Amino acid sequence: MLNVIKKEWNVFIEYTKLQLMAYLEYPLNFLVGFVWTCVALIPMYFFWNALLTSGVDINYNQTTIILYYLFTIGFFYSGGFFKSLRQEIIKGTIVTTLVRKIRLENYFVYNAIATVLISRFLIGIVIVIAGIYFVGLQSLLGVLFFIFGLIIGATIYSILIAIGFWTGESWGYFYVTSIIINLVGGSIIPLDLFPIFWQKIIAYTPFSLMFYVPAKIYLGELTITPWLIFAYVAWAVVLYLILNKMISLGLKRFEQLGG
Amino acid sequence: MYSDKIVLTLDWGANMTEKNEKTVINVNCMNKVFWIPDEPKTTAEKIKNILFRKKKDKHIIKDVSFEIKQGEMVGYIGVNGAGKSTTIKMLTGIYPPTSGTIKCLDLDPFKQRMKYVKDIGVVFGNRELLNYDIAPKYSLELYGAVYGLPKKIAEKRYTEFAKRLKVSHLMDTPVRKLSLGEKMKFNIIASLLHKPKIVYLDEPTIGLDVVAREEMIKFLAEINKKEDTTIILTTHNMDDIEELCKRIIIIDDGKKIYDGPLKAVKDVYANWKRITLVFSEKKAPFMHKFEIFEKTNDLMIFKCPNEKLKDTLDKITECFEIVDLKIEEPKLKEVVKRIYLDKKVEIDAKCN
Repeated sequence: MLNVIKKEWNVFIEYTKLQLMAYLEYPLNFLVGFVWTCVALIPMYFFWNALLTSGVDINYNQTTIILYYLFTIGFFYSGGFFKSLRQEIIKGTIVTTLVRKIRLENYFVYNAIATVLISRFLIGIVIVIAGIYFVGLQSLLGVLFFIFGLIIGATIYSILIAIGFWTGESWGYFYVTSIIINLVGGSIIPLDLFPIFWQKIIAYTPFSLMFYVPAKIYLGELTITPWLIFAYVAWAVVLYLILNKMISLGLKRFEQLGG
Repeated sequence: MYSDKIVLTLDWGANMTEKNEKTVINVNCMNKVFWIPDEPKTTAEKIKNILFRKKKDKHIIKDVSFEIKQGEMVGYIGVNGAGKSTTIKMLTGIYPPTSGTIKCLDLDPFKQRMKYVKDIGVVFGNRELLNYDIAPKYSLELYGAVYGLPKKIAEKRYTEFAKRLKVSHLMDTPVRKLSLGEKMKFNIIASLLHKPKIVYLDEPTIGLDVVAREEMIKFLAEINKKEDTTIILTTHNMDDIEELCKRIIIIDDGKKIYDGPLKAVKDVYANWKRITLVFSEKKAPFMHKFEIFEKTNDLMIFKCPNEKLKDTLDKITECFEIVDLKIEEPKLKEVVKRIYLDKKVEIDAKCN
């Protein structure tokens, strides 16, 4: 068992290394990602600043709302990040992975995690520094839980990718679902600003664990309980099992004519 | 002519029995049917087609059976669209056959994929195994990790192969900057890294020049000898496998039409050359009984049996003022056609 975990860890590290090398080939991407985050933060700042100065009473002040958005926009990822993985099924390049000793589900999840980690690395440093400065060392736990949430997010997107076995070209539902995931994940609006009814419903889904919960831990407003850890583990296992089943069914449908 | 083939096939069978090698691939009545989109004809069908795609069956592989022994090097050849790549994809566990059975290394390639793929290496001539943007070294390291190879062993193996294929100096060059031949060499290294028992090469010579092709073929022959690796190579060019494979399987329109020694095919079905002669002047009458493919005032394309080649060339130099002369091997399409004709003769003889 330990050997399997060690081997899988090595494979994940190698995929991450590969992504990093590919990313470094185009170093401008790091800068573009960084600038994109800053630009996306500006309208958020003006909008929430106007709202808060007008006397609207929400659970956030100017610092916490900016920190919240620095975290969720800085660590933001959506369906577009996994375009190349999605196209592997449509273009048939997935065959080069199928002949390797790696589970297709692991291949999707590892690559999705590696893509986000590498692309968010630079802004991640800013998030960590800002967290330590404004909140304290406990904000680091928020970053750690973001990584746990990323495992869940990567598995969810891998499930969406696997739907490509049935639908072929899949960009339409992929992007629509992606927007919904980000909305109910708390990266567009903090979930505690939603009506109570919707908050209760969203609490039963894994999406809040992707952005909202880690952001609240980052702000020092949420205590980590064994139940929370259990929710992360349980959702990761359930989603992985769904992905596993979908891939085994999808591969039975996979057809690719010619060389 | 047909009896020659039978004798040679029997000879081949005798050799195989003598060696008594283990069967590593056993394919029995393999069929593959794909669903392909069917063009809607009426407007009503076109509207319906938006939601419910009209599909029709396409029978790609038809009742193919064969066995391959350990350490064999087999050429799987056929013209484009014959079903070579589909067969390779079924043998490598990418998809299952519609009917029939495939046992490779005593496993079902599709159902037991994870157990099976650790012992195979695959190269797709038109699909890149390496990450396009980065140096091949990193992709090779990844493959080492995927197969659970200790880092040092993986490094030793790919360094050795790269040296042998003369690409050591390109280890740090991004794949996108490599030539087609260099990329193919690295793809082959990636597929051999984990010492596979079977290697499938799907059209590995596509786009390669003569030198790169020969280097690759020599290297594969060495690996086969040294590591007793079974190699299955698909191609639509018979010349590719001449130096590599003693046995060939010819497939056409999804059906196996020949399985036996390459030599037999060469001797019986490809025992002639296509001669293209461009001349400016006819010095003397050219007497011959050859089959003419094309003839104009200054061009003649004809079929010359191998045993008469030397005499014919002498005659040509005597009879013509030559502008250009081209001697070519028969095309696979022509060989396949002749095999079909022979089979037809055989069936007709049986019926009578």
